[in-house]
Amino acid sequence: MSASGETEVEKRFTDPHSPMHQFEIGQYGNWQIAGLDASFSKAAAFMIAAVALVTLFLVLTTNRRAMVPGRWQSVAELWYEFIADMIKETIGAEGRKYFPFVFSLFSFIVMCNLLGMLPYSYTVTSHIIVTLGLALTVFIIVTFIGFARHGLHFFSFFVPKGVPVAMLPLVVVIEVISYFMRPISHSVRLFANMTAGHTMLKVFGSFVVQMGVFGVLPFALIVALTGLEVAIAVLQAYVFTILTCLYLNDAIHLEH
Amino acid sequence: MHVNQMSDPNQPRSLDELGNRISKARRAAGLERSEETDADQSAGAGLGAAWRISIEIVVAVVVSTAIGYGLDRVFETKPWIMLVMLFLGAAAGINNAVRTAMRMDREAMAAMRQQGHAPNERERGD
Repeated sequence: MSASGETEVEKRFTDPHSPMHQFEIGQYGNWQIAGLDASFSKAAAFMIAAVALVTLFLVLTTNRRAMVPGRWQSVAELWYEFIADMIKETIGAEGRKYFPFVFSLFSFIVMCNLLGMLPYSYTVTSHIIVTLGLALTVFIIVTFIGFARHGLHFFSFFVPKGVPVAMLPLVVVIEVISYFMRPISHSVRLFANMTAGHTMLKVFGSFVVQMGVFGVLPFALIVALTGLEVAIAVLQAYVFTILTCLYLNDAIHLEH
Repeated sequence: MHVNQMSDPNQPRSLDELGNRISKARRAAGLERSEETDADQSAGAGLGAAWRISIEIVVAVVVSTAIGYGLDRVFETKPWIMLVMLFLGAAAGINNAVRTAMRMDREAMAAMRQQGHAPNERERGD
């Protein structure tokens, strides 16, 4: 698209001085497969980088499998135990089966979030389509597990106990809407946190340039905010994962 | 090892005292939980909790109202489906939020019980 044909909103993403520029997806090459745009995008590059880094880290740190773990192996073991304990506490023994899924999900999100904290990088999780994709994956898997374990009895999940019959139609409708809102709130939570945080950093970054000597003040704030953003990157990956565990628990035990 | 060592005044008198000294040193080095580190953690956890609950309500209301608006345009029944969906969405959002809050409450109670100072049911209130 030519520069003159851009709308106001598009300019916000393509102008390099705009705080939204960091979210432009960008692409390498322009490939078409069967009429679909299959160009290799920045998002794809960072997702592959995240998966590669997690795999490389875990393979390299655990390949010696020492009985007395060294520093790096301890990190990998802590990482494993963190997720294993989370599953044990929220789901219980039946959750063991879903460990690979939950562990992959957490590792992927935390690595994407942390890669986004590098200067000039791109935050995959700041796009709702990515987080919604992850949340819908969780939603579909959880619903599938619910039906696989309980059959049609899974529908009793939408009928709370102890509700008067007269209220039942209304309550069931509300329960069904609540259930379908879960993937949306699940994805918006991660997306909003990442987008808001990164935009805020860029806005304060432009203050540093604009304020000249006094730019030292926003600069100090950026240092503190960067620390906060790293914490949020990990915290939001944790929140996404623990909610996945809670949804799995709902489907397995049919309780709220 | 001499039995006499136990009565040496320079040695710690009992294992309890030794334990106290170790935990004091660990706390000073920031290795163990103290009230200060707990407060730091609860500020971060509080922010996480606020996000977890507030997003539930906002998303449910906005999304269901938008769905209602879309259905209104399809069936040309403006604004009735949107109004119904607004209230249903609010109810669903509050439903999810209350459930999340109750679950957090249960987890906090379980954590406190594990640490050995559980408030009894009357103190806890509703």
